[in-house]
Amino acid sequence: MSLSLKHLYLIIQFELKRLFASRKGLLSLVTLLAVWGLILLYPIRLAAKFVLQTGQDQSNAFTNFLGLGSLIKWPIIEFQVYWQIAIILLPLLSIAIAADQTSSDRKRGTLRFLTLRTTRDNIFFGRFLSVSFIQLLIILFTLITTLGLTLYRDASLITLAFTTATTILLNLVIILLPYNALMALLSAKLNSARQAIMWAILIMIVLSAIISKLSTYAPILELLQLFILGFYNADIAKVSGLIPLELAALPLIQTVVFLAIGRWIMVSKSL
Amino acid sequence: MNEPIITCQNLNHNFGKKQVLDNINFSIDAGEPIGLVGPNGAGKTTLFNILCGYLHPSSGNISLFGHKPGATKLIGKVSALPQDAQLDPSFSIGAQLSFYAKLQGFSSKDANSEALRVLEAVDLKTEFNHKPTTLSHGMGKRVAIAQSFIGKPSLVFLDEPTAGLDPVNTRTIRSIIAEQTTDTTFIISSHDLNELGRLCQQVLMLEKGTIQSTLLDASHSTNKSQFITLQLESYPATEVINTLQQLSGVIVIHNPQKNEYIIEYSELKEPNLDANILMRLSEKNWSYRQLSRGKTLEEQLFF
Repeated sequence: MSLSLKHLYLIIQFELKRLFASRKGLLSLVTLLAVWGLILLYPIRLAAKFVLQTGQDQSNAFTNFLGLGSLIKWPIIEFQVYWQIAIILLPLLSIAIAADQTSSDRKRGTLRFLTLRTTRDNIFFGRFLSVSFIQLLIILFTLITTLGLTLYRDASLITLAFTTATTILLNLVIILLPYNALMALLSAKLNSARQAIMWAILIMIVLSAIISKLSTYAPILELLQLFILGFYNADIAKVSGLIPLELAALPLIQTVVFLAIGRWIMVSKSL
Repeated sequence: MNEPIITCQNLNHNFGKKQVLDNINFSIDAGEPIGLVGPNGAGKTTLFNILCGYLHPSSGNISLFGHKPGATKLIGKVSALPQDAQLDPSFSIGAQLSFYAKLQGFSSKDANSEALRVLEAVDLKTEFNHKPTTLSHGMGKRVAIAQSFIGKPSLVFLDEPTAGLDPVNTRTIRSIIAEQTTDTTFIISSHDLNELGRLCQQVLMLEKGTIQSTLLDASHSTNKSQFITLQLESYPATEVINTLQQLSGVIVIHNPQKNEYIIEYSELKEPNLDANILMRLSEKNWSYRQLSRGKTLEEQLFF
């Protein structure tokens, strides 16, 4: 493996420019901010208001509906709702923003210009780190705004709110890494972001359904579920603190496996 | 004696069951531009892609300056114009060329200057802040050539640099390449033999996946006899051949295509045949379009 820290830094810097300095990137950001504004103002703020006024907690309805079950409460209602929404929406957002790590550059031939100047390893891992960093910025932004909403309601919650936000940040990073890694793999293999998204959905839904069905006949096949993305999300969703190591290990192992396969494809595939 | 800049030994490449390159062996020294010619499907682009590190060969050894294609030690030393590759439409041309320069080791400030320098070399300095989508096909090709000049590499591969361009842009690109040949060795793949004949002193020919002829010298004959290529206005070929055949030193005259004659002659016997031909043409009141020493590259390679 041939990696250069300087090249990784330059690639991440360039990808950040794509988001913050290009018209297309800025448009995506504005759209994201508008959607997040709606989520913050309505589900999160109103749920908190409802619970505080009535004393009834209906905030689990969303995840109950999606089959994730009733969630153990986080200590602050705004973060309870945030956690429920984030664990469903952020993986989907990850698939969308991480879908085109290398595919369109390969199709266009831009990777040929790049590989004259840096290694395929640097491009593959540089793009993966860029996407993960952008995602981290998005999570940070949404958490900070939720923190602001909480403190606006009750400023005395500052210490608890900060600890909760940090815990949720770490949990989300662990949950989302394998999604980014899978998209890095699919992007290295396929020729467009659209194909990568389709394959990601097929892998997560169809493959998962097939394995579930087969495992009813042969319980040993349940082991295959370990390779399904998001298989562990239902358990993680019930966590009310930092994800314990036994739950965190699987997404981290999946990340390593997906990156290893993706890197092999990237290095061996013709450009 | 200097080491060859490219060494290729027993190179083979297959796409499935089809063998595209069949035991290719050659070496190239630094110097004047070298042409790579061959019919469609001969394996030129495959060989180019392998030399640039875009494609891994099925077997064989290749060395560029003593390193494998794609090695980090070749960054800044070897560059290329890949066929049909395009810049990212999301960024300005200048931003992308500066980024490439930074990857090659330039500081931020120097990277901008280098991007401007290479754009100036292709007369497109004013396009620095524009997006690639605003360029015409010819301008896009020139920008792609400009990226290959970043860092003044010692070796540049150009795959079909003038394909699809009009004569004006073709000429511009030819001039750009000619201006850079003092510091850089160019390997140029092209179907345009006129273009290669003007730019290259040596030609490497690929046919059916094998090197059919080794390095040729396009400017001189390999035989003891010499050649003159003559293009005339439209006159009866039999009469022209009979008339010129009578000149001293002429061995044989071929008429490969309409109004073109290739005259093989003995220079020892008649060193001033070209002057004699012109005099005979004048006597017959025949107009000529072109008279040149040697055979055209097309004639040398294919006939």
